Amino acid sequence: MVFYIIKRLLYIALILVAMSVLIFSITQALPGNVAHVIAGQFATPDVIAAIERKLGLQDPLPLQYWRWVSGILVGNLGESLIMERPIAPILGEAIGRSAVLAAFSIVLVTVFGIGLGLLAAIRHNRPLDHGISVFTYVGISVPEFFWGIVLILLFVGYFQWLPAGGYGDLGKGLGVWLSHLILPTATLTFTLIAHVSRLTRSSMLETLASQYVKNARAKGLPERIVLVRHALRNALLPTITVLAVDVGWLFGGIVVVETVFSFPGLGRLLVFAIERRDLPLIQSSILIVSGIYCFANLIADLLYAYFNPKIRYGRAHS
Amino acid sequence: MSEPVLDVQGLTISYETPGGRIRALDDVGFRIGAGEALAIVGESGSGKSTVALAVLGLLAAEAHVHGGTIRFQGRDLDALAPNDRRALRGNRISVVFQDPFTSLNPSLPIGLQVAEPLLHHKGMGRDDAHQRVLAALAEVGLPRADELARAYPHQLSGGMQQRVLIATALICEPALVILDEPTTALDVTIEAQILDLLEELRRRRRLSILFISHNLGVVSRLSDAICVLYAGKVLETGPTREVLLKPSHPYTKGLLASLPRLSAGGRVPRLSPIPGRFPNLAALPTGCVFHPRCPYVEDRCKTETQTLAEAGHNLRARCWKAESLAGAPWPEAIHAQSTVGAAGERAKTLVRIEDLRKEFRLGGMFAGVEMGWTKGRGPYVRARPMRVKAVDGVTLQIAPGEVLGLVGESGSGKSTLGRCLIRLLEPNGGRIVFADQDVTTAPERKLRTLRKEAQIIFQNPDSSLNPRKTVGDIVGRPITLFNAAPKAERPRRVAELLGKVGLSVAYAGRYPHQLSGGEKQRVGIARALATEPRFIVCDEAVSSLDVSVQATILNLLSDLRDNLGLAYLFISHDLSVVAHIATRIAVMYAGAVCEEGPTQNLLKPPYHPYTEALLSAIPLPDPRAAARQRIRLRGDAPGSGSSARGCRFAHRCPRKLGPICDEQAPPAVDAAPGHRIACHIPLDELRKIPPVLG
Amino acid sequence: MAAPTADDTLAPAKIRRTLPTSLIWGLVITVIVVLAAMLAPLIAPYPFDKMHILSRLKPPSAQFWLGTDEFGRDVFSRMLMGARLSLFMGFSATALSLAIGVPLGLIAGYYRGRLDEALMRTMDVLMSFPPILLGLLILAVTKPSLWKAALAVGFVYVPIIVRVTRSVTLGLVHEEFTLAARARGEHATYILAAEILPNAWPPIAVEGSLRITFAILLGAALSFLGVGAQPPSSDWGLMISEARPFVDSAPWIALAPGVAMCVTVIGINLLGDGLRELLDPRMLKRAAP
Repeated sequence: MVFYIIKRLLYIALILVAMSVLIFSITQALPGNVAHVIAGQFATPDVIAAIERKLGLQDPLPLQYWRWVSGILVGNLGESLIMERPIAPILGEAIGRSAVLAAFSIVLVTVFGIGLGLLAAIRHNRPLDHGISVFTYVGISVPEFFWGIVLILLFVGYFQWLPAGGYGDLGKGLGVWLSHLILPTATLTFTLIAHVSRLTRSSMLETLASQYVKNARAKGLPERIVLVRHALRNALLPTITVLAVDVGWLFGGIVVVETVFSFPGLGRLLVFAIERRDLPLIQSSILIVSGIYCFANLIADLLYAYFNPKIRYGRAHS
Repeated sequence: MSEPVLDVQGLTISYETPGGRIRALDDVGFRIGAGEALAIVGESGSGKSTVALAVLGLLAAEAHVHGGTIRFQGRDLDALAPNDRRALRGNRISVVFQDPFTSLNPSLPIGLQVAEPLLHHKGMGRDDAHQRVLAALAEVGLPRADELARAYPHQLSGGMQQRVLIATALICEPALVILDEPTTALDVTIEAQILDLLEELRRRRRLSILFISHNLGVVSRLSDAICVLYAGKVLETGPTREVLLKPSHPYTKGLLASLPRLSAGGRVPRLSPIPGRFPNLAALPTGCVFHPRCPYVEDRCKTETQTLAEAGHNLRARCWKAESLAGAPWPEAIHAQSTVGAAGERAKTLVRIEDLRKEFRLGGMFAGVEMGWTKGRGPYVRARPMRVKAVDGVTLQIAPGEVLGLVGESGSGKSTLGRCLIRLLEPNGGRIVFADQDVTTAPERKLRTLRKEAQIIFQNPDSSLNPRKTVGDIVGRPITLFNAAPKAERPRRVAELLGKVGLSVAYAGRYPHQLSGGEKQRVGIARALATEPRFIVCDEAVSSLDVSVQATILNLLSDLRDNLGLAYLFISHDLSVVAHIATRIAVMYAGAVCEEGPTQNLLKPPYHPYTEALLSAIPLPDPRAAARQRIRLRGDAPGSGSSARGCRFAHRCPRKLGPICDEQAPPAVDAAPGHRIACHIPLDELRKIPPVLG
Repeated sequence: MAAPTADDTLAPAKIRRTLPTSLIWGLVITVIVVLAAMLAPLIAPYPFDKMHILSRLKPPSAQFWLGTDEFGRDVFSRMLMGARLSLFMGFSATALSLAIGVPLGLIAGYYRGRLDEALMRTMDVLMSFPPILLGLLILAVTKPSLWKAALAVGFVYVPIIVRVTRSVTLGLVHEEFTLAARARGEHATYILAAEILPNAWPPIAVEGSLRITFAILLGAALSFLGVGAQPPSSDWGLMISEARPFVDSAPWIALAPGVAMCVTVIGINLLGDGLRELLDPRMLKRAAP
């Protein structure tokens, strides 16, 4: 198990290095030269050359890459070109807000996604199963940005219960803070709950058809024990992996949802950076998000290993 | 007679399938008295497993029970409420299923899984249950029960897992135990251990057993009575001894005649299989279900439904002619004439392998590093062997027209050897010489002779044919590839090849899923013949077929050898099948050949202790053989735990001499011309070993 | 010579199961959407970019069936034309990911070894980006347009196709009919094309149908974020994005493309599920995003 964790950590380190190289090389292909962006459309070549010198843009690419990566390693993410402020605090604030959104969503997705999936599997081919199926079908077919707009139409336009967007500072009271989180979270989770519950359902159905569940029934165990002790645990193993993959989807959702609800988090910052071609900001935020995603996968792997005796206890003791 | 433990009458069950309604069981009835063991025997499709599920009350939702009663200790099970029925399961009626590898829950410790019936039926506390579990694990011959109870299924071998399942089935001291093919998934030496255990438990505990199996040999060891099932109908039933020795129904006769039999005396040149194919369950024949395949068929059989009637010797058979056929033997298959006088050619060598080695790499990026934690000493990192030696220094020769049998259990490396031989795998060392050409490391483009003249037939009829091609395409492709016939000739050539394997031209347009298992295997053989080879590797070519089909394919392979002068490397785990077809046999254990010799020499002493154990492990369908000498192996994990230097078999050998076996590689001793035994035991000692076969 | 012994009667041909209902519904919806897209210029009452300056933000009426947007463009006509863009997005991105992913997957699964290792580790890196981020990253560096978005989306899904193809191939390489082909010395291209691919396509087709809907949704999301289709395009994602300021006053501008997209996606999803059920009932578990 210890070995397994070390192995995974090493592997993630490798992946992160590869990702940083990839991000760096793709952003280097950016057509509008950074210096042009800073200096504006009508800058003279002299001005541009000066900026390039200042930013070290004429240095060889490996050197530029090294400067960027070594900066990240000591917590220096560089400076935003547009906002002309250090990136670290900007990102930190944005990540904090998005994290709240993500945390709420993950909890909801885990509880409702798994819950609905299990319910559907246990009531396989009965009305409840069909009902959940229809719900999840709509769920995976409706894009977040449209779902968000429908919610705005209903709860902001029609009922006028909730604010249309923005961020409520916790300082203004828990109610304000929460009211700004409800719609974005609902939008974010709709698709993911549908997705997780579909996979949980099929995983549970497969487990229920397994030979060891048949054997458990042949032992005359009460159905409740068969379901909880024998089926559930094994059925949830693949769901853990799915949840981790969905964290990646969640980030995609966050980008869209924050734009829809003008929620000042990481996603909106990223879209802003892309619109303005703020290269250092783009590089850093994508690397950070991808890094977080990697660690979400690591945690999922570890959970998987913990709940899977094959990994936890290793091979046969011969 | 006291009340039977289980009394099944008139059980009729059908399944709703996409292909229509299938009648799985039709008017099936039997009784099992206290302490009795009844075996239900049948080929695949006979409905035997449905019987087990019906008794347990675990039939699938698609199953419909049309009629019949199941009485357990006088109680009508169908009249019970679901909860009362559940209270019987695992408590009064328990079951051991076929596949131990999937029957245990991978994420629960063994101890809990064994204890569950106690916790839920007997209301026992965990601590009390634990004590009983330890006793039960010890009773089924599992060492270190305490440690085992905390282990998880993946840490156990298949044999141990099956012992655990048997312990679970017996823990509530049930009145009836259902054994559904309990040894089919296991290796033959492990099967023998499990059968010994079941036999002993049965004697000691006076168990009543419903035993379900396709294997007449296994049945003969473990049952008092037999019920022969065919296409959902009981065709014959009676005491085991009578059914096996004096069968009255033609099907039972055919089934027994299809079995390759081991005897030290000499082999039967041809088996006498049942002709035709298993009926389609959605459209059963009228009259007697067996009439299309019956050699004694009369017009009456085609229209008249048969009833189970007295047929002498305490037997009851579903055949109106049973009485008159009582002593009649199953008609012998026509003897094919050998056209090749191979004696002259035998002197030459077609295939020669010398010191062949094949290793497999294990795992991925970090497989070569082992990290761990020692208590008190902190973490450690050390190198770990990354390779498994699947074939470790094998030397063999095969002459033209010769059949060399290769026997071994799973993990012995026999299939790897076969695949290296025709360069489907790249050997790591040694030499392969085919038709005087060294092909060990020759690049693919230089292998044309080998590719044309050496072919392979596989085990699994379902995976050996590409499901998206017609039979004609499958058989025709090698002809195209090797330009073996002019284009216009090819359809005729395909027809000819199909004829050789006993299929009509009509098959050329069919897809594999339209064929039965035996027919698929015939097509596989035709494909191998299409390149006009001189040598064929038969890799478990008949192992997944039902006995009657297996017999026809074995006959076909013998005929082809005789008519075309083919040489085979016949790989199988089943020594009786190998002994039937092979002229010489090599026995493999953990990557090395431990004995090699002419079939007749190999079946009697002197032999290698492992050969002796294999012979002794084979369940014979002969109740008279029950008393024969039993040699049982220790442990159940061939390959692992063997020492690197000494004899690979030493740690399981019942005749181990001492430290020498662990420390020195055994010398290959010539027991007779062409008969090598790799063992430290002196030849004279080996000669004195009493023979396993009478 | 062995006399023909095997029974000559034809085994009952595998009985075709009745088509899954999801397949039928999926087909019906998909065909309608595809037809609408193909015939859009004929059905649409107005050119999609024609501005009716005097009729801006008009609610649905006999003249404008689904109303007009802020420039007075007919929402119904735009929605119809948008179907073309959406389907273009879905199909071309999927075709791209299949065109790259299937050969790579086949090669990785067939040859194994170092090549496989290198390829799969690269795919691991690509898959370590959340899909939309990889799309954003690619699109951030160029001038946005719909076809570039389609390229980016197709690229994003390559690793998934490679993985699916590789895992199917891995299984088929050990099938005995593949070994038989190798035993008679068939060339690797023949084995891949004639033995493996015909058997590998069902799961790939199912995955592909899933990819189409994901590509439509991802493409629309990119357009919505402004890095895909550009004005005055009638891409559904862009239409919804442009409709955002008017959600209160003129909800039909956003609802029409939104509902159209949902119907399209549901249709193709149903089709994919039906396909899956038809081709392999055991595959029901796979549905990674």
